[in-house]
Amino acid sequence: MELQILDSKTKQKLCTLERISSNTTIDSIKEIYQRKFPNYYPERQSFKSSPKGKLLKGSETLSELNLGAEGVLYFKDLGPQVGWSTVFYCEYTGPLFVYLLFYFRLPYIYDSKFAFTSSPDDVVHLAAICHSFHYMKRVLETKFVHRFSHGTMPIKNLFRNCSYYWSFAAWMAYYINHPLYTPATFGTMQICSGLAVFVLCELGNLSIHLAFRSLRPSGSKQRKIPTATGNPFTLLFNFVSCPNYTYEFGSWVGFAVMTQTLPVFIFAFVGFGQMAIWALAKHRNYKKEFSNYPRSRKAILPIVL
Amino acid sequence: MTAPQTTRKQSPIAQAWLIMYNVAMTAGWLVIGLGIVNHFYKHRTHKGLYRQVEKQLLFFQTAAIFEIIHAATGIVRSNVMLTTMQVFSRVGIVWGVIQPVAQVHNTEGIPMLMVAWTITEIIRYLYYTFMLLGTTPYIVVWLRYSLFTVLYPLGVSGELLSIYNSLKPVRDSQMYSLFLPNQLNFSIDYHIVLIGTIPFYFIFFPQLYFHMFAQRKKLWDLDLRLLPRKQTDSSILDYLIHVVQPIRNNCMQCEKMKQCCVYGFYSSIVFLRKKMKYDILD
Repeated sequence: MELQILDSKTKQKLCTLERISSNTTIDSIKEIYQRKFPNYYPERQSFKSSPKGKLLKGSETLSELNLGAEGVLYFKDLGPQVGWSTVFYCEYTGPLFVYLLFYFRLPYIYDSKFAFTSSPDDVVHLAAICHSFHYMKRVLETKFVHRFSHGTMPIKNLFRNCSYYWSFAAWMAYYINHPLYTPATFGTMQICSGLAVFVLCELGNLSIHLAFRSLRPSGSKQRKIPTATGNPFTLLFNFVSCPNYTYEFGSWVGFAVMTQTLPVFIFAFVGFGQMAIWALAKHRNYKKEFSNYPRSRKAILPIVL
Repeated sequence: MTAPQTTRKQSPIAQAWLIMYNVAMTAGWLVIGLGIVNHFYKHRTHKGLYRQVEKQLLFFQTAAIFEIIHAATGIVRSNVMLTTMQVFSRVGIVWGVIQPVAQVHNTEGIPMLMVAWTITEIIRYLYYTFMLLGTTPYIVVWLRYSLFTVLYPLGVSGELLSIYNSLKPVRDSQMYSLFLPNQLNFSIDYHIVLIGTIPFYFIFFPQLYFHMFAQRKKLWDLDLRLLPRKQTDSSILDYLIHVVQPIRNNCMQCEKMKQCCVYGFYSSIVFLRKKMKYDILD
């Protein structure tokens, strides 16, 4: 069959693909399209069957779309793409360095007499260790643990995500490392409990990421209902669909309690808001995909949400 | 403020509420307007003006928050974010700059923004009221899309002047500020926050101002082409009142103003041609 490709916005004709068999998948259409327009690599392309419809999945074939004799597909340019791991490395190495600029009190951040001085409060050093550990862990997880089901994202997300992480890190670090920092009101007890929550949640988060890895063997796009493994931290899977987010939120609450700094609390709750949106979407997908999905499971907070 | 409002087919209760709200707001701003006129007539100076209308201004400006609720609940079709920004910029000026800083009350910015706001708001709420009732006199449309050319710059200048005049008192009194060390490990300097708002005026005001001009132009273009100078035929006037008027009203408030206007324009031309042909033939 013959396939017309129109621009989804202007409805102008971009090209005609000839002699296309009806069981061609969208993925192969993307390769054929790239041969005509070498600038548009497959990740950058998306196709729709109507100008305002949903983006078609790569595995769908033309015959499934009921395009009729005069096949028309709408092309949408997703913009320049960048790999997920690149985005992750930028997002996570930024806060790591930014935090340390404040920790070492580089000149022009605080009053010049405090340049390169060190805080008398132990919790400040502890916080620097925790913060660095958190982002080091994320970088290493990106390298060795995560498997990405989608290869790329639009490059503008890189700027948006980086400015979010970097500026929050700077804002938190400014107050925690400030010469006028006030340590925890309830002293060592508060610091220790915050630290304990932080460490446990970091371990929990790592365990969940490892569990996710084992759910998706390398090279496959196979999907299973995530369940608890031998690791006790993964028992949280019995309560929520995205325990990694639950632990992530827990870590930041622990860090906030330990440092008793308002911007950290704000970061924890803004992050929670975003993660809750992702978790609810993922939860909905699980329920749609698996008819036997455990009904008692929530999205991100056990029993509550 | 240019929050586009269009009433959808909606419950009579919502419609009744909106009519009451808009009538009340028109009346409220009229009262403020009378207060301003009265003050200038009696005292011939802007000094003491703020004290004179303070209570009414605080009440009716704060009541604009309902517009956010209207947009959020969907009983008025306008952009929630845009409405929120517009309402809060005003409410912020009133509650965050003018009301708490007594030194600002007798400065020149106050009469500027008061006059600009009051006239704009009377016309805007009047316009919405007429919209809800189903007919908008041309004079109200004309005023709404003409007076802004003077009132917008006047109002914004007044707001900027008021912020500027509040800076020194705010710095001296350390109002609404929190300094280290404290147990929250957080600090905020309201003086800096106020300075930080000033650039936003220079970013957003030109955009909003020229957007209004563009809207005005579209409206006027539509009008001119539809109403040939020589045509004073009553059937055309009739047509303008019953057909063009509603189309134009919808276009002006619709978010997709451009498409609306183009559609309205074409359909009107087609209609008008047919009608004129018959009129001439008759």
